Amino acid sequence: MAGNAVGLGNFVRFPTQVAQNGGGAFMVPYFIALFFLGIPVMWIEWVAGRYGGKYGHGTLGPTYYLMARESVKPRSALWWGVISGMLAFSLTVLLNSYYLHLIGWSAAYSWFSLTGAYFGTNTGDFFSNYLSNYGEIFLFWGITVILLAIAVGQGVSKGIERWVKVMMPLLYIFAILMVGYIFVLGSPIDPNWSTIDGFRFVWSPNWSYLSDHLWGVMLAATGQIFFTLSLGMGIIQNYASYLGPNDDVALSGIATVSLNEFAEVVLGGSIAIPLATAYAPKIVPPDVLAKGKSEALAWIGHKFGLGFSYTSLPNAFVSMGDAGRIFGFLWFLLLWFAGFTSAIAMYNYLVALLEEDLNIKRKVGTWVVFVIYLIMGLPVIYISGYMDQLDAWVSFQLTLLALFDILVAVYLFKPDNFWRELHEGAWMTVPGWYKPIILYIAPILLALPLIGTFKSFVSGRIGIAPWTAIIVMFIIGAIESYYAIKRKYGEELEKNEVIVKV
Amino acid sequence: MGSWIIYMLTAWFAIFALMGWSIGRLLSAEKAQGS
Repeated sequence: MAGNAVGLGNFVRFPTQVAQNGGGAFMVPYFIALFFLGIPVMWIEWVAGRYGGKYGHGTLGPTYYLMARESVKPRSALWWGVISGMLAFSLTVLLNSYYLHLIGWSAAYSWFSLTGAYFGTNTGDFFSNYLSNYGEIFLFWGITVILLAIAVGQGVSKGIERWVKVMMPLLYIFAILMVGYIFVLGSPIDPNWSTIDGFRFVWSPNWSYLSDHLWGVMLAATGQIFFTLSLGMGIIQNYASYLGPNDDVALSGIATVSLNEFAEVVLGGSIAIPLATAYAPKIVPPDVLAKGKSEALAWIGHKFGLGFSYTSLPNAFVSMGDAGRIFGFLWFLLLWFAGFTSAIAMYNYLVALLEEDLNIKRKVGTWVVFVIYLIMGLPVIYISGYMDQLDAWVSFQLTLLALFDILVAVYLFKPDNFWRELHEGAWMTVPGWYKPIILYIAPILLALPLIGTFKSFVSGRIGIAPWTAIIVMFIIGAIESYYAIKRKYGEELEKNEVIVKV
Repeated sequence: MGSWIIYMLTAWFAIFALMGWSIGRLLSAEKAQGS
């Protein structure tokens, strides 16, 4: 599970979000979201997944129908299941439409490191040129999607899991070495711009920025917590559905969170941003540099979006000379692998959905998802700004699905049932004070940024192309979930009373 | 020492502590279950 949780979210998306949202201003709601939302929602999704598994379900629609049934009649529960299933399906597809490109970028940069392609260039310009080279982008992305389809279709996921046990510790070791190198790198090109300034940017709470951009920063921080922990998308429920009814979920949930947070805050927060700060004079225009370090980092964050790490990290490898070619090659290869394993888990969720819900054979399902990924990934290449707009929406939808997690898997399932399920086979006792956090504080913390930012999404923050993708995926997701629940619980829905009970 | 360094080290320590506690407990529980 930790292999799935550690990925591009830690080393690519996290530094981008920090740079775009005021550095230290972002970290305050980030830690609040981790404690009040990340940990409880992790427990909720493990509990929901294990509960669905008892009925043979690994997907969100039927699972949340069953949980909602504890409080409302089956016909009302159907709608809770349909909406939850719709959100999970559409989110997984939308997220992968650009996540697979990030994996492709990592493959490309692994190659570029080995060949020394970015050595001696302005890494910002190099990245922009790469984005405008459609053939190259298509090649590395296409190879990644084909390899994914083969891995999932041939059922070699288990073999890849064995590789995870070697590659993930290696990624941690490489990242720790990188952090050490960054600490001693100092000011490589300008004495006024050092890596330590980057740490200061991350760890100095910027209260005025936070109060000026409260809802936006809150949504970004909350979305990042869910993105990085693979929450709010049905993946954790799918994984937990394979657990036995007496397997621990409470302690395993905490362990997953802590391992990921080590990779994100301690390692991910200490690499790209300090490097971007030290090399900012090379990338950022002089008039922006003159405004200060926060402005310079925000400029890189907004100009290159999720390319933030790909513009800053290569500079470290260049500074290592020829050894940097090998180091860069291995670093981006490990990053590619980390992203690839996370993508397998999401791919498996979609295939399981087609297999379990719609009775589509696994091999056929694999190629159906492959085609969906190809179609949905094309606008990322050809429409400027599409990726970052969709990524902003993903933060919104992750938060929305987490709210549904609480409404369905806690409130409708009934809080006492949830609490009992959480402690079933648990290797730890969850402190009692977490109950009011889950029941009252978490829903408020989820609802506030959703309400505060909704207007910005409908009034132009994202364009017509991402909206089209979102709405089409909503419709397909809703139809799929409705059909899946109706097919398995048709008799219950007809009589409007609970019949199937484990 | 800047206050931001204390903030950073405190956050890092809290994450280390949570990781050490949860992984340690998970491993000992798995060991106990196996024996």
